[in-house]
Amino acid sequence: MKIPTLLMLAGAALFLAAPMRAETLDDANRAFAAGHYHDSTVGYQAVLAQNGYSVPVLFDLGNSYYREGDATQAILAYQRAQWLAPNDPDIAANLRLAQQQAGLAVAEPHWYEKIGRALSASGWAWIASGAWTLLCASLLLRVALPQRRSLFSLAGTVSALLLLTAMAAMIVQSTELNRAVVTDKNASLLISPFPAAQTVFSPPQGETVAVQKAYEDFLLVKDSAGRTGWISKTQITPIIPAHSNG
Amino acid sequence: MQTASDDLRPIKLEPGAFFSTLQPLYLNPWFLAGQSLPLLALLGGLAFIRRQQHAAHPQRVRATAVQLAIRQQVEAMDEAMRNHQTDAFFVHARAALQQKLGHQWNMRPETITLADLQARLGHGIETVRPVFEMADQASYSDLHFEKADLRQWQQVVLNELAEQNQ
Repeated sequence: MKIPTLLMLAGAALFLAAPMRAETLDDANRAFAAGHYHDSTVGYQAVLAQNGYSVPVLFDLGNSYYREGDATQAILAYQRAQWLAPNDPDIAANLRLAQQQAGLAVAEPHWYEKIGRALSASGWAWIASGAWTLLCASLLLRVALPQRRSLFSLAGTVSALLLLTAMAAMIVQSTELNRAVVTDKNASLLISPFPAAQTVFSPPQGETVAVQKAYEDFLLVKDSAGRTGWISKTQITPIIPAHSNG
Repeated sequence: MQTASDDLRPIKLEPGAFFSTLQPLYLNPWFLAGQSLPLLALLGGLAFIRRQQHAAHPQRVRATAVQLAIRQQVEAMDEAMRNHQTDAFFVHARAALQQKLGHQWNMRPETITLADLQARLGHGIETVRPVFEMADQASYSDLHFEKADLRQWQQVVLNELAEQNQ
């Protein structure tokens, strides 16, 4: 038997032996459509690992986890998608479903949070940057062209108001930077940051908590009901990881 | 019966834009550093406009410089008065008046003498001349005035400077 033929047979054997793995978004979508949710989850994860974070892919990953019955990971994926696109109604709807599936109370955001979610944090940052540039330009032109002083004063006032609005929105959204999802089924909040410490309460899986402080391998967190306690770092996953992806 | 699962919004087919991090843009050091550019442009532009305006109005620049020099001399008078240095007090008093008169007469301040005062000043010489004379005298002899007297002399100089301003 010739060498090329052997190579072809070996390749075919490897292909048949290996499980079907979705490598592209289309593959993952096809797996999802066929009801192969584990394959689609792996596929979406691969797309994210290769390319970085994307709203649609995170959303699809959330859907895939949801169909798999893993509401916790679905919540995490939807929360990440919502951070990038806070105004997307599809993400909000599916996040609510996943939270309901996990048996969690769905809290309505405050009015100022709704305003802050009109844009993503980076969207507000661009608005602030543009307003800041316009404000500086208006101040300069106000001096350079005194005959158009009133026009540039108006432009400066508008840009200053826009800058303040964007900064307020960024401050409101910055409270979401340190949020995490409880991903361990046996998670427990302790009274102090030591493994042998007394348990205060056990948060449900999928619950979103706010990280307030760190001490060695423990984090002080606060849940939506305002209860605080120390939790092991391994029992929660930050919604916004400190490191880059892709 | 429709279950909660049936309400799931469908997947999205287009991958959209990819981001390497979920960290917000305002935490990116490059983005933050970029925000200094409009400020630098503003400061640079204002400095340029100020220079242009100065170039267009040299007399205004000179007037500002004279005001600054007079203020420095008046502060030096205060200092001399606090330290009971009568000679230094009169030297600075004369210098302040020289700055003012030099600007008015378009002369170098330090070259203005009593003779110039007599030649150019009319009735105003009666208040200015004693200051010049005391300053000359302080150069040759050891003058000593009480603080209250120096304060009166300072008032004379300040009045004269204010009068010259009008």
